Amino acid sequence: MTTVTESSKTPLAEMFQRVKSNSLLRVLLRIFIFIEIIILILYLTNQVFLQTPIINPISFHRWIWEDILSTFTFAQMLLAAMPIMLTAMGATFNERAGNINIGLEGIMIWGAWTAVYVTYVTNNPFLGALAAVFAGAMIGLLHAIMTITFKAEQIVTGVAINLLALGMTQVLTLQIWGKQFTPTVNKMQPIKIFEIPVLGPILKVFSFETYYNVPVIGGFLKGIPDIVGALNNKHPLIYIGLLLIPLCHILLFKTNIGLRIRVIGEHPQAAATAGINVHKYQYFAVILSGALAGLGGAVLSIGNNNIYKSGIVGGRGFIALAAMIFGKWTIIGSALASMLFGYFFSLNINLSITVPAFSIPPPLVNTIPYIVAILALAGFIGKARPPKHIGKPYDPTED
Amino acid sequence: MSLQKSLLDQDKLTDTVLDTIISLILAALAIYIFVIFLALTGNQIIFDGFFTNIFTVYFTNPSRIGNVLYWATPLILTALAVAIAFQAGLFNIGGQGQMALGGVFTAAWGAVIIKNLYRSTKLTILYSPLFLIPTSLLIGFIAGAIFGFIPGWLKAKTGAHEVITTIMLNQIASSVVKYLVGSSEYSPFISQSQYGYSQTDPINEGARLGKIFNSSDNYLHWGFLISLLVLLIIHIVIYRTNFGFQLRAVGFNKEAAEAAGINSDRMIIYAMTLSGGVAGLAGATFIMGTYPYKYFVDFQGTLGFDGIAVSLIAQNSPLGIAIAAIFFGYLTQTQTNLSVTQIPGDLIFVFQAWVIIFAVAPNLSRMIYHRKKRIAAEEQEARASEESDSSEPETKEELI
Repeated sequence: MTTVTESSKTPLAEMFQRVKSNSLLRVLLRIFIFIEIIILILYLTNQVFLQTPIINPISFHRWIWEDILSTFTFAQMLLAAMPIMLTAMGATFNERAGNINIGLEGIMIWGAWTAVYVTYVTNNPFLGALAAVFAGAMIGLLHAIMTITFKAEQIVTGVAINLLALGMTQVLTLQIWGKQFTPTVNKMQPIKIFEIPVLGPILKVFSFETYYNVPVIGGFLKGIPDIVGALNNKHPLIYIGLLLIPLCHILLFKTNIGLRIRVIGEHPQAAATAGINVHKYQYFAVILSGALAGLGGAVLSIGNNNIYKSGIVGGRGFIALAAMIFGKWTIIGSALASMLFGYFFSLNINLSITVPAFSIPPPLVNTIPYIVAILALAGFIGKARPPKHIGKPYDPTED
Repeated sequence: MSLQKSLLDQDKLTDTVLDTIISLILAALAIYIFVIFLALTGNQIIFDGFFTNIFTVYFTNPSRIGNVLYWATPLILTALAVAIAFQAGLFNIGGQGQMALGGVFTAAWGAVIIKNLYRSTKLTILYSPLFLIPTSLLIGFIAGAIFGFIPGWLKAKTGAHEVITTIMLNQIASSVVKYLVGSSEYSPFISQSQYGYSQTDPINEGARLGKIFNSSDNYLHWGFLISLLVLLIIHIVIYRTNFGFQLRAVGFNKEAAEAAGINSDRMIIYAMTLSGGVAGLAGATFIMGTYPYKYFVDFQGTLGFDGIAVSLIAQNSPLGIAIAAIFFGYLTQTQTNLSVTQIPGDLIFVFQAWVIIFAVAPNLSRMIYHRKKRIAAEEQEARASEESDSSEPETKEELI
């Protein structure tokens, strides 16, 4: 890449080496160890509530892994993970530019509401999604103006944005429809990917479902998740979101724009010395992050559901921040971590139904994704290092 | 870090008061524009009685003023929780969860555990207020403190960001509460009588905090004085003791504090634990002072989050917290007033958001103003006056 040759000439070369991301394989191995720890905690908690008889830990382990590897869990995972994933990828951009935005929750709320409103008016969910992206970018702009131009405390502004989104959407919903929730609108229609001309039959070759009738192999394949099968029959925003993973990764790690954003997060003074317009790139990152979070909200309201009601976002914006930190401030990492959280949300539903003698009360099962988030943050997966200049406004008069 | 700098300068009281007034005026302006916009765009919301319910009712019905103080009671404590953490350079957003847990454990202690203890020991002292009120407060404090300790410990030992861990713990706390009192299938503290689910039995009469005025629609209870006392104690601890000095030193400059021999990890854990405990007290006093004297689901509303706003507007000074909490108590009571009308109470959230946004803005506009002045000193005076003419309206208000 041209960026490497450019960097090696400057005294910033050392810094560029440091911001390079970790290898995929190591992350996957850590996730595996992590799941094993979760199973152990689940087993012990279950035994506390069950008291007698003591379940065979090996069969408990197998039941949990059966749920973990079921195609159904993976299919639901995509739906649950996508809002978190889009927001987490957005959060990666603004944190890399040295800006914390805990108002992403509010931006998701705002995006979800706007998507439903525009879909209600135009009857076109795609216009709704576009409007959500625009609305998210606008709130991102508000955050950018407050924190970058006015150098307001970033967390404070985030709290205000959350309150603003909560209040405004509730009041506007009441104003427009006279109820606490919106009427149902046209949701995005799922796409059957196997019926697409050319691409469909090719994908079908990779789907395990095709071989379920083959002796020996078929039985084996039923026991492992069918990734391509899980991709089938989802609404378009899921595919758009999956496509955005490589696009965002390239933007942040393979282009000059991304390089500059990352340098600004590490040392804005050095970036300014190198002739980079710090504020311009910070604005870009924060607005892009808002746009992605807005789209994340739209996935919730017009993709997975067809209605907006209060509490639909339910802390997913905050989980996205955790996913971003879990993913070590990288796009791929954030996406994988979001998948993991989405996966735990979908696993929750399955566990209590399918595992025999599962006696942890439902409210406590619901804490699993959050405990996972805390454990992830606490660095069970290895230490993560945030951008150096995070949370502080860039003041050109300093240093 | 304009907020942290300003909280170290205790002399700038007039500046703080001026900033607060300006931010309130700007926020009132913002909400006024929003209301007019709503009134113009549609006719779903009827704004009959808007002015009455937000203003004149407080003069025609004095017990509403008592209710303002009643709402200020938990707000003082949740704001204080945020302020304590802030002094150590931490941001505790977990007030909501800590308050809920403080409330549920106080209710469980006063309603269930103490009854079982009495059955087994037959000691009459167990039912006396002298024993029950301090222990109930202590239980609330400990319950909150545990959920403050966890993020504090994680922050000190692993570096996990306390903002995100406290947010996660809010979600966990709401689930834990659901487990404790949610359903008769598995909940240990649930009401066994006709009250149904999602609440405990009323707490023992000895654990209740009495009303200050004997009036049916004035809810003000002695918990208000407890919260003021806690405010005073925390103020003394933070500003007049060695412990408080170490806490503030860590908040001001962690590296410098460590170089001076202060164990910053330990101070972070202490600060978060104390912070969580005070938020837990907010739940405890709320349960002990509010009819029907029992835990019911979501009793805390948004009081925990409002504490953040209160503390930020007061710039973490104890006197400021008392005033700002009363102001937010007024907002909460107004929200209750509005519930009898067609006007949505959620309008108050919008107002709070603008208050917070503008609470940060005067500091910044002043900063811009100072910079402009510096540039002006360097450049020619004629050109400088041109610049200040073209500056923003906020700056102008600051000059007036």
